[in-house]
Amino acid sequence: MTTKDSTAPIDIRVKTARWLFYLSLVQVVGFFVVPGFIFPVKYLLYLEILAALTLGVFIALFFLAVNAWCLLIDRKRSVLYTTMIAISGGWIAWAIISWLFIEHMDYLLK
Amino acid sequence: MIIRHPFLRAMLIFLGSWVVAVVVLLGLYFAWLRDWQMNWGASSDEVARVMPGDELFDDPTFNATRAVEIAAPPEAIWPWLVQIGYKRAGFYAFDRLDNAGIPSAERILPEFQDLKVGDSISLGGIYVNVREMIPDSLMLWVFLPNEGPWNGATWSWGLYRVDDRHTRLVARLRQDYALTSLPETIRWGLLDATEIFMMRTCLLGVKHRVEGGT
Repeated sequence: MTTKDSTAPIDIRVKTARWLFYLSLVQVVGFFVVPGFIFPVKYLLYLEILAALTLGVFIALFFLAVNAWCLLIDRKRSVLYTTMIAISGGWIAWAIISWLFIEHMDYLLK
Repeated sequence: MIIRHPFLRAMLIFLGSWVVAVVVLLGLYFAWLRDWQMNWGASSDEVARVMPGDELFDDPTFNATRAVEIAAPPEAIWPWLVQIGYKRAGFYAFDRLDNAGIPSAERILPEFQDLKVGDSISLGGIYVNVREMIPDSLMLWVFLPNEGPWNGATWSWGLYRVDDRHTRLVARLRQDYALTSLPETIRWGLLDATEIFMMRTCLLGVKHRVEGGT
């Protein structure tokens, strides 16, 4: 007769994972939105790209780690987490490739 | 104390993870990454080699020596160095940030080839003075007095022939930090970790242009 109690801890872990996902998602969105209130529109896109390739790599790594953890705990949303892992993984790969071959990255240099 | 509310647990994990991440990143940066980025591309001999301007600082807190090898003789690289500057040939780096959006030169510009000792070059808001120059070999820039963090810093360029077709381009930037306040410290912290992106891109930009034209 332990059905209700034994499922409670699992439920809290799933809910915690989901809140953590929301917090890290807000962080990612905020990372791109907040500069819009600080910098002139003229430079905004360029600064956003440079930010995404520098500080943003840490944001992406954090987001990837959160989604990997959520994927282990909350199987019901595995498609969402897998998609986010793919996006953040692509973000990190884009940054690595950009810095390795920066002299050929005309969109960054011009 | 066990926190049972999922949001509070998530917030605790979120903030705790960032605290751990920042501590680990700072540890990694000062233990390994800083030395690597400060000497990016340079051999131990190049780091130890005396360059113009070294005598101006005994033991600077910022002491960066970066290098690339270029498949060209020094005399083919020199014209690309002397034309560097804001609204001159640019910095071969992030034009929208450091050259008012004007594309860096893709060719040697004759009008900027007569640089000589005593000349000043704009870096965009701040100026450097050409203090020493040996054509096809060495050049020393000293930052003129300014309100920014590079006040009095030195930036030296060296071209060292490897063989008839290869040259090492070495750039050395030195400055003593003035950590007089928290904002200064934060500003220096950001500069310390991000200046490499501009310098590395600049050096690779020179290499790309010289090798593209040979």
